[in-house]
Amino acid sequence: MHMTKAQTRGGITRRSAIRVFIGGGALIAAAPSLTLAAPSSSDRAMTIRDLFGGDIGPMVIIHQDNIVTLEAPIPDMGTGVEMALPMILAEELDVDWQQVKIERFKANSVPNAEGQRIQNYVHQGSGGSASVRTAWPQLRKCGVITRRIILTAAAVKLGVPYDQLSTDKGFVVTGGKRFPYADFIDDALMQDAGLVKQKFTAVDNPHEVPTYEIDIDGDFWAVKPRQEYAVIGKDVASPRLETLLRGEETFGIDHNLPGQLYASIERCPYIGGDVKSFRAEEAKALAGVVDVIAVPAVTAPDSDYEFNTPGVAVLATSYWAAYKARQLLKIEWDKGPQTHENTAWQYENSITAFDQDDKRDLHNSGDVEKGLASADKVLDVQYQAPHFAHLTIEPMNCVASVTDDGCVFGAGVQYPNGAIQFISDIFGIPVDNITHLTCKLGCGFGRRARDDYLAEAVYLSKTVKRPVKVIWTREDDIQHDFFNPMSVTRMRGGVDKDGTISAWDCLFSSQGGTNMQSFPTLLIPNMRIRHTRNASKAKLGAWRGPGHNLAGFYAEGFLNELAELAGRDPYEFRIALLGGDRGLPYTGWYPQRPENPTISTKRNKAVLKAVAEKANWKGGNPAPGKGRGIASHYTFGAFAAMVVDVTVDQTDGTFQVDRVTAAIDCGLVVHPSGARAQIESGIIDGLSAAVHQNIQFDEGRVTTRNFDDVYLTRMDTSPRHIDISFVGEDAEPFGTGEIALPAFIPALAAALYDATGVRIRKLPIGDQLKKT
Amino acid sequence: MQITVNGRSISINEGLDGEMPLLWFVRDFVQLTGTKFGCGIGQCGACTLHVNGDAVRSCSYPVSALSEGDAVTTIEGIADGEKLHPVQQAWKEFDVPQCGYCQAGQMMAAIDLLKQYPNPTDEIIDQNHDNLCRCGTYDRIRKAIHRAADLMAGKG
Ligand code: FES
Ligand code: FES
Repeated sequence: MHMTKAQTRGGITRRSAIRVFIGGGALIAAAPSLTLAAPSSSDRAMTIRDLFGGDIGPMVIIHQDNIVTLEAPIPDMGTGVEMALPMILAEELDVDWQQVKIERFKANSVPNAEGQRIQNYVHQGSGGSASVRTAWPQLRKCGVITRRIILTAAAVKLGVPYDQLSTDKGFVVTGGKRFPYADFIDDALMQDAGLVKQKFTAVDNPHEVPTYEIDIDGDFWAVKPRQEYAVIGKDVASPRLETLLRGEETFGIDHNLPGQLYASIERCPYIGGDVKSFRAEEAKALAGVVDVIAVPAVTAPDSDYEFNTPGVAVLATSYWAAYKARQLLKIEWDKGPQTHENTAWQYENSITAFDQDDKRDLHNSGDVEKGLASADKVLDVQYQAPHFAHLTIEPMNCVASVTDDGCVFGAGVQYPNGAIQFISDIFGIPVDNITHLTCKLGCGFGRRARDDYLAEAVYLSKTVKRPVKVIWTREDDIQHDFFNPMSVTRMRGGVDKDGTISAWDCLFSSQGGTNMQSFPTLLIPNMRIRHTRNASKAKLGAWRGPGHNLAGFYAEGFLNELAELAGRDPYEFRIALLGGDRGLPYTGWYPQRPENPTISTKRNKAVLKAVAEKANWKGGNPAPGKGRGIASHYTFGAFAAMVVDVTVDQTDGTFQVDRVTAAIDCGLVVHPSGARAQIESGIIDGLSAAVHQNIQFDEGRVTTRNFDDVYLTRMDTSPRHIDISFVGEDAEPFGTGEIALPAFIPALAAALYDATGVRIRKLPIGDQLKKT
Repeated sequence: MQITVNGRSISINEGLDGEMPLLWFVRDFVQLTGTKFGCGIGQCGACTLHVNGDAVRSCSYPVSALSEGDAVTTIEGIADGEKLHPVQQAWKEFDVPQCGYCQAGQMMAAIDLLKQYPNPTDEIIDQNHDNLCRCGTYDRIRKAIHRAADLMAGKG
């Protein structure tokens, strides 16, 4: 049951071009090269009011009482960007944070001359820890420009030369007098739009969705010196927090549309399978059930790629009736081509793939085999990790209404403009006729970068001609996730008599990729990383730190093993390996990546030194049952180093994380409480992943069902103390969401080894620590 | 049957399916969406609300288990008008939420915990507070529970 080509419509080629997977599966928006034309709206703009759709500046509304509404342009999935981004805007606009309200900026794009949609003012997607990094220059510019617009009007109204005006927290100041911004808004709105330079420049970074930035003449382009910051870097309070604490914040699942039906969908559990036939008499007989219909997999006209999983939907007047009736469906499945695929097969197949000929070099320097042959001591070991699910606390859901006028949909999405483009391309609705209802996201982790859950709701609404709200069960959410790929990694390494690494060979077998091309890889003279692909067809997607999440476990884990083989302290070993201060060429992706990026040994040493000092590192913990380990990793432009302390029960092998000491260099920290929260989150997610994540497959389908199968870290096992320091505040700000987890897992594994002598090379940790 | 939800009188129709979990009744019929759905099997606690002052996981609590006059309290009903409940206040002071989706359940569970243990130790919190937070806000929840205990004991 696939949607026929007649039901879909063009444009998807373009969209496929703007959402691609790189490296380990990071969902990164990449633009084809562009010929840029000014957006049509600016051609018509006569006044500032016209230019900014009635507002005084992009994402800025100043009310008569001098209250300022700032609109957060990037969806917040727990990442804190609804705080951090308005803070950047507020700083350059120079307003009093106590007077700020925060709303959400709607998906905003304009067509260029070729009809391609370009985001306006700021990049609006959430992924790759890129939100703060990408919005940083853009939002400062928006703040500077808006302040300039107000000052220009003030100069005229007050009859004072522009250069004799200054601002202070929402007031224009001149000659010792203070005038609220609000006094000048009416005049400012009526100013010629030419005040803002009409030259729209595109941020034509191949890794970003193209964005038009507004500009002004260089004379006015002066950002505040950092010493003068009143908002950035301060733990200011969130104006939206109380709404959330009162249970009044809107999440995707809280959107309702008048006259909506609720849908619960039984999707084909088999990878690549389909609905063969179904009977729905019993389901239809249940009170409240309105209809039962097939939901096909939607595809683009020029591709077989199925955006969603085919299934059968029960539509009812309440969610409960739809859910209950769904249990009464009689469906015969076409089990598809993967019924041989189960968890054991995935591991066996990955090992078989070691011998395949078509291995791809991800890195190759020196002569690995020679280096291994000449080594004083060698180690040959195998690491592995299972599929991880996203397990966003809010299961997938979407409410959509398709009418002749267009489409309205409410759902938490990581890429609002991408989601709108998807609906436009697949369902043939013009972008300007599609409205996304904004909200907070009950986690994302990469899951809400996909479109499958949107496709179903839009398809159903279009078919039944009523608004439809689709809510997934937790079981649906796990079974039909896009997983972080399982992998098996063979590590061979040698050390010389002088205690240095002579060679290191890594053979990574997985359906997905890995990001091991930073440190220690760049520091080892004879180093090879190869990727071989297993034959699994499990659905994969971006999962918190794609490609990085396990690169730390593998590379830093084995680095700790080599340190021991060399008889050296793992901290000293790392500092020596990093050597003198220099930048080494880096081939991985990170947001706002320049042409030929390098990564800095100095910054990596700095986080290691900071964490060693803070944790008072003197090697492992010799006390019985106690353990201590260290690791670091570079993710999407930021450095993390961790020391983990554990206590292991020597009989049953259960353990408690006593303390995590973390040093982070993510450059300037915009919102300290939010940044700390992201590091805490990554640590706890790392613990959850290492202990609990283990998605199981059998007969070509996922058999893990709910939180009883994958319990995840709770209060009782969460680390007792987390101690985070930020270093490197002088640098430009980078994201924090994906930074901690890749460094935490290997530091934990090292601590457990120190306590027990058991090397954790296999995730989940399971009962490996139990004395036999 | 008449019950109250946050002090408001609500009637439950004869025709309503008694198997319907209280979660969906509250969300879809009383239109209070602060109570969240996370797992549907009593595992995560996102749906925690109070029935006659006791915390229940409403996804696994059928409407038929309610009796005439029962008082249901949801997250929307714990503040005293403008004044936040001490637990909400403590959550605010420690800037607990990340995505925030689990936090209604966390706070409703914490209120019940503090009713049983007005001055809980870390061990008591570990043993009694097992709501899932996928964002990992446990450290702050723990601190906020201690802070709320102080606030409720008048140690502002
Ligand atoms: S939704 Fe009720 S416990 Fe998870
Ligand atoms: S705050 Fe996001 S799940 Fe708890």
